[in-house]
Amino acid sequence: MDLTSLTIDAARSAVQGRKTTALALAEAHYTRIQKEDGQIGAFLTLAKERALEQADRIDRMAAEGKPLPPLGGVPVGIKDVLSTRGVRTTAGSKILEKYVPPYDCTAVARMEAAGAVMLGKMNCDEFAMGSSNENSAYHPVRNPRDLNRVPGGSSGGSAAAVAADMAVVALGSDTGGSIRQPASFCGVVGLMPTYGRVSRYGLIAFASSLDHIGPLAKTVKDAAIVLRAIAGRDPMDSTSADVPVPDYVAELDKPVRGLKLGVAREYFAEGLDDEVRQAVESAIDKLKNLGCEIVPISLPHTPYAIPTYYLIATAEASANLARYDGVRYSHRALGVKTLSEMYRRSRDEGFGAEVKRRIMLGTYALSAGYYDAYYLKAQKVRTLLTRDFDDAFRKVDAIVTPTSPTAAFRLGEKSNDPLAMYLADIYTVTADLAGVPGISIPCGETKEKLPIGLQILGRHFDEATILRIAHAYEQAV
Amino acid sequence: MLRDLNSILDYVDRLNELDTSDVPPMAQVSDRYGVDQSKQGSERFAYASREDVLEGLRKSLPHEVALENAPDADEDFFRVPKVIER
Repeated sequence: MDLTSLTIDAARSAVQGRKTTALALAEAHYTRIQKEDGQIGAFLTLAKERALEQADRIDRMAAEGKPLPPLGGVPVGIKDVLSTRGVRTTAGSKILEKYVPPYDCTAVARMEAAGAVMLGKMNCDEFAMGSSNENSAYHPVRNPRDLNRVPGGSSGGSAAAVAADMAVVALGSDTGGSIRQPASFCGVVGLMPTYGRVSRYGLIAFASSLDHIGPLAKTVKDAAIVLRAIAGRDPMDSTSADVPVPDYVAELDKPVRGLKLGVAREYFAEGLDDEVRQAVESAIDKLKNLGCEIVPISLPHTPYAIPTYYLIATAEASANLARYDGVRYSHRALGVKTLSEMYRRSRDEGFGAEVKRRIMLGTYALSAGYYDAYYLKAQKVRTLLTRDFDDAFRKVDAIVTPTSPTAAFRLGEKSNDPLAMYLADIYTVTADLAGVPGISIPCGETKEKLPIGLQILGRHFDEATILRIAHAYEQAV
Repeated sequence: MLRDLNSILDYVDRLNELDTSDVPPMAQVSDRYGVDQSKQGSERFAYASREDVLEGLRKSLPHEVALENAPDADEDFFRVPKVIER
């Protein structure tokens, strides 16, 4: 049995049935990490002590014949924007290079309560700001499918680790596409739940009205298992919704016949790569053959999503990143004589260029004299974008789109042109702005064997339907 | 940096193509969840609040733990360069 090519159920039942141990699983993954991660760069910190303690706990349960929880013994990766008690958490930034959180993120705590073995912290774009994982202050992550190309971002480490079998599943975060787009570039499943479905407590905040936590996995079922474990109201996050958590796994095999799938013309317009278009259209045909009804729709404000996003997200980021001032836990510059010099130099030394760019944009958008023209205007367009979805979901049950206009680009290809990088998010930011859930699943490859992603968007709190459609497609190909 | 910031600002200007004079702003998605439309002010957001109970949900971080990541601290306080300049 190859211990590094298992899904969640296969791993867990192997441990439950004593065919292997949680310890052996963890060690097999660490061996693989040692062998492969030098080239890929997916991990920033390994958490061996914590992993082996948890593995031991699970192995004792199995030895006593006790039923293991749903993720019992399963090796997982945790994006480095999720706080982990006693394990360094950097958010991909030098400003938190030495920060060791005194508490666990709720999603991480729930994963561990479900038996998951946390292997370590995954590399990401600094403060989750980026679409290629080239903005990590440590080192970029390379796409396991082609080491000269980016894995996508900002959850590039999480996607690459799962794609390269260095973890069975990983948690990532998505603010403008940061789970779905790297999933698409690396050929894995990436699920962004509805805003408020999963608690954000312990997620190092980038944009509080746009941040989501979600899984990157090898299969749709694995994503459903993780969602079921981490979703649900958390009193520590007042934006987490008090909505019951269905058994997402039990719902997976329900038939998709008769479901109406919307195809929005704005997502198939210019800028979409031909090979991506073909793969996605072919996937939509398969869904039609499975009994889904394809309905042409329009999401007319889509062309305004990127400017809206880059005003709202940067404004919120400028507020959220104000806390990194060198006072309580982040990097402090040496030899400073006054408080304001301390703030200025600590932040100058600790933040990378993209982070600075966004803080400045956001501050400007909120400043007196510009607030109405920029931030308030963007909030109004956000309403229009959300209404587009409300209107669409009166006619259809889900919307199918490409996840990204292209497959993975080369390292360095867009890093000199921030605006070009931002435009790569065109199909993913809309869901973050409206708060609707979205999943990206592999649906083919380019001629150069690069993965292509199909995105399925659903109604608020209707992850069950998009998982069901994704699962049906995955099983049919 | 300046060139990048300027080109981004030029790009976001296209939002002015839209007439939003009658459109309410949307600060957050969770406004839609469980907001009691019949109430006014903060009572509309009752879903997001909880009892104001001291130590009710969890204990505060112990002092030493809270100071652990500090670049400079004594047993009680975070230490910073002087705040008030003469």
